[in-house]
Amino acid sequence: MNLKFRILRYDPEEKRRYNQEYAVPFRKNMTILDALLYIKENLDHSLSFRYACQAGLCGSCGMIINGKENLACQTKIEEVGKIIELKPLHNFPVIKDLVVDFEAMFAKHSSIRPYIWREQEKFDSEYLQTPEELERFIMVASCINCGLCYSSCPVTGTDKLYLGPHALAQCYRYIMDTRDKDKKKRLDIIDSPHGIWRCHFAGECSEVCPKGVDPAYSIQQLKGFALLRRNELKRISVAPLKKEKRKFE
Amino acid sequence: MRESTFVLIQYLSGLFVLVFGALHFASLTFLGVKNLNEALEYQNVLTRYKQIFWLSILGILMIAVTSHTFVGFRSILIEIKQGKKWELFVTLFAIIAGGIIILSGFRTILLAFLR
Repeated sequence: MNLKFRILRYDPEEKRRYNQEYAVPFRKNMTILDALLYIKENLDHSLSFRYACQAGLCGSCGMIINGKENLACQTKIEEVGKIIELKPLHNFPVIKDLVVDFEAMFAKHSSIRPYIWREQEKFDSEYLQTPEELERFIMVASCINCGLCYSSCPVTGTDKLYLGPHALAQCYRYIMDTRDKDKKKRLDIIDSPHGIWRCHFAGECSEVCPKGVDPAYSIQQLKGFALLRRNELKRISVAPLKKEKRKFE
Repeated sequence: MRESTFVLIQYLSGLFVLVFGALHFASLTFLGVKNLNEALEYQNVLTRYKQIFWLSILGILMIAVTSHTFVGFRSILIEIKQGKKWELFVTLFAIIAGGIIILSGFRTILLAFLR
């Protein structure tokens, strides 16, 4: 049995977009990425797409598969049918075929300072954290930077300066981290004209995330902090607490 | 001004519009007005402006509706087009236009009260 692949291609030299069809023989447990590799090896060497780990960990092979954002390596052919339409991710400039430019998304990610802020580093021992404290942000920490949420967000499509679900969810991750100290400064970055308040809560970002991260929830939590619960941030900024007050397993 | 301040104004004014809008319609019933034609009669309208309680309700409703409108309009305009200058222009426009409407509304209320 042959599968029909319709791929939206982009030729950067001629600046031309066109659909190209390929017939790929079906194999049990075949993924979209397997099929793309088959096309690349046997049918068309010029087809471009990005991939690395083939295990849903690197976040490189994100694309629109039959109208929905997904990772090619994690999507089995059986799940999507015999006719498969592939397109590059939305809201990103296309470099070639299915390869998009992530620069804007990573620039927004950098703007929220995605690392732990502390005035003074502690070099003599590690920063301790209880399992309960880790639990607060571990869901968001699973992010693999695949850009599916950014592609699915309707606001990112219209507001080019909007920070986007990826950066905002990561901001929530650091705000909820007890080791991070300057939460108010972080909140000031996202409490801006193109920050959290532009989110219309469409919820698509959470729907498409392959790692179960919930950016929509994270953004609503951030809205709560920015609007009414700024003082609550002090309670989160507890690390390092005195050892006698915290129970470590 | 923080963006959350605008949002807070938006949420609170929306709440005020609900409460004071309901009171505004209720005022017609309390004042014994029976139908729409009667409600818009010059004397009936003026009667409402002569009582401090109803006058205050109308004043607060006017401020709430204007604030809600212009803060919402500002958000829409910021989402349509981006840029620092545009944001500043839109914010100033919303504040100035809203301010003018509120002042003009107060003038009307005051004139009706003193008449």
